[in-house]
Amino acid sequence: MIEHVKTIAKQLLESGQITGFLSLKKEHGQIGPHLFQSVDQLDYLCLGDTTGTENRESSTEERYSGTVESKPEIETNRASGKQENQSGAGKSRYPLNKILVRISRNYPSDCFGILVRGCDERGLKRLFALNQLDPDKVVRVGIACPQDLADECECLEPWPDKWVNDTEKTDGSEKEKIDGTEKSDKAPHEPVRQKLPCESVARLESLEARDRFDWWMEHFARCIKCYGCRDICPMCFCKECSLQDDNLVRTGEIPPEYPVFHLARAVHMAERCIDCGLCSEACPAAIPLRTLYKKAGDIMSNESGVRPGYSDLTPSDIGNLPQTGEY
Amino acid sequence: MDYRTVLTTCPYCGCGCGLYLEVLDNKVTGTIPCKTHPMNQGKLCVKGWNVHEFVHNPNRLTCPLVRKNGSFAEVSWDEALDYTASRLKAAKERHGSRSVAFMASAKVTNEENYLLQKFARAAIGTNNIDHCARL
Amino acid sequence: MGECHYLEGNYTAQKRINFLKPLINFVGIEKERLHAKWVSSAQASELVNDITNFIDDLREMGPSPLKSKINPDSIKTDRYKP
Repeated sequence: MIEHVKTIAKQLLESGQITGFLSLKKEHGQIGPHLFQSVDQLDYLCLGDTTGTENRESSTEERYSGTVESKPEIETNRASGKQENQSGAGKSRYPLNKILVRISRNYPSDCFGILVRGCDERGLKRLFALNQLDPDKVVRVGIACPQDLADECECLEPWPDKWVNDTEKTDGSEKEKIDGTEKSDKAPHEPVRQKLPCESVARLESLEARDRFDWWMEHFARCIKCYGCRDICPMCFCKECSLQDDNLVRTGEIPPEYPVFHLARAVHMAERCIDCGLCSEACPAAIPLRTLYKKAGDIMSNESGVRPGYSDLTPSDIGNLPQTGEY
Repeated sequence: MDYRTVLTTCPYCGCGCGLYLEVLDNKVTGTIPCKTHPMNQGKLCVKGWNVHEFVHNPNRLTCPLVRKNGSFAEVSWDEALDYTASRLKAAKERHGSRSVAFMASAKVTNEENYLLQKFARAAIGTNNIDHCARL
Repeated sequence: MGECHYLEGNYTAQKRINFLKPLINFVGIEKERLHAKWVSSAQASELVNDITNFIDDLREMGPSPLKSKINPDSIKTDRYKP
């Protein structure tokens, strides 16, 4: 998979269609975001292919040799055990959309390529709808997530509309993908869709209200108010954050007033949260924020019929919920 | 147009969380925690999340200050080092080496901290060394 | 509905209430503790009735769980390792 992504990025850069390709880079043994602006840097490109320190031992040659690429991705993952994800999409995800928003605010007329997963693309769609990015200035190169990551995320759609596929090797199909004419309708691997409500949500809902309250309060009380959930969130782009307003949230108080602090964020994210789960990953107190926002997404989908990012939802849609009777 | 991320270590405490500083056109604009770093695994505290803010802060000291006639005056490094050395020497001679204490910092490298304690113990002869990251 | 001084204000409010009720229920606060009703300035008696009924409902439910929040010091931090 990674060789295909490199080829596409190379073509895009060489053609001058994009100023830079925003993706992940592996350097000094760490994976981080990087804007590739020249073709020769692309050797360092990676798709987030290690899980913490576990895969450190495997050599770079092995990772880039392409020996595992001919097999379909899901088989590779299952068969190779510890060596999983070497050429495919790995677990290290970064808020690339957020970086893109930051860059394009400074360079609004430049066009950028970006590596997208399912969650990234949902984010892009919402950012387009909220006028934070110009769809004409973004070229998406999609990759699908491995099944184990999708299971972990309980992701409803761990793949973007179009993605680079292992099995398709002809140049023609890749060109088509760049042009955006081809739209894959088959899932990259089975099984794909998670049941709704997600297991984490359903498990909580089966509890008594009082137990559920205690469970959440025990989590919220650990909050160290690092604002990590907001800072990493690809959908948080407000210039002034009400969670940082001295009149609404008292300064110098830890934990912040819970559950108000966390619920306020959940409400603010209601029409934005695209369920990427970066907030949960970034939380030093391991608060299961994702579960809370998953529920918020379920409510949105019940109330308005749309889940943010899954279809093009305009800002006014939140104001068009079906009218209910007396309550 | 130049955007890059620079892998570095959080300067605030002794934990040593790995983070990326976002640099847009030679200006540090943001912080992203490093997901694969064994120390913090993609997490940061509120201080780490905001390390980029002090880099270009106009309040940062750019040269040594020495108190003269009750107020701080900007001086050259040579003057500052000479002044410090002479005062340290005077204090040691008059009150003994135990009258001097050293405060190390978590914001400098391990090697610099090593040098400081070596200086304190070998050159001055005191064990009075402390560190802000002595958690 | 629709007669709000702020034009669509009460529609927006209703959506928020619709969203908030299941959300607070999810964190274990009874959704009946949140109540909204649209009353015009000419319907004083209805407002009084509604508030009285709401207070009765709240009395029946007893004190809010928020009153007995967990003391942060009592939390066992080792239980929820990421």
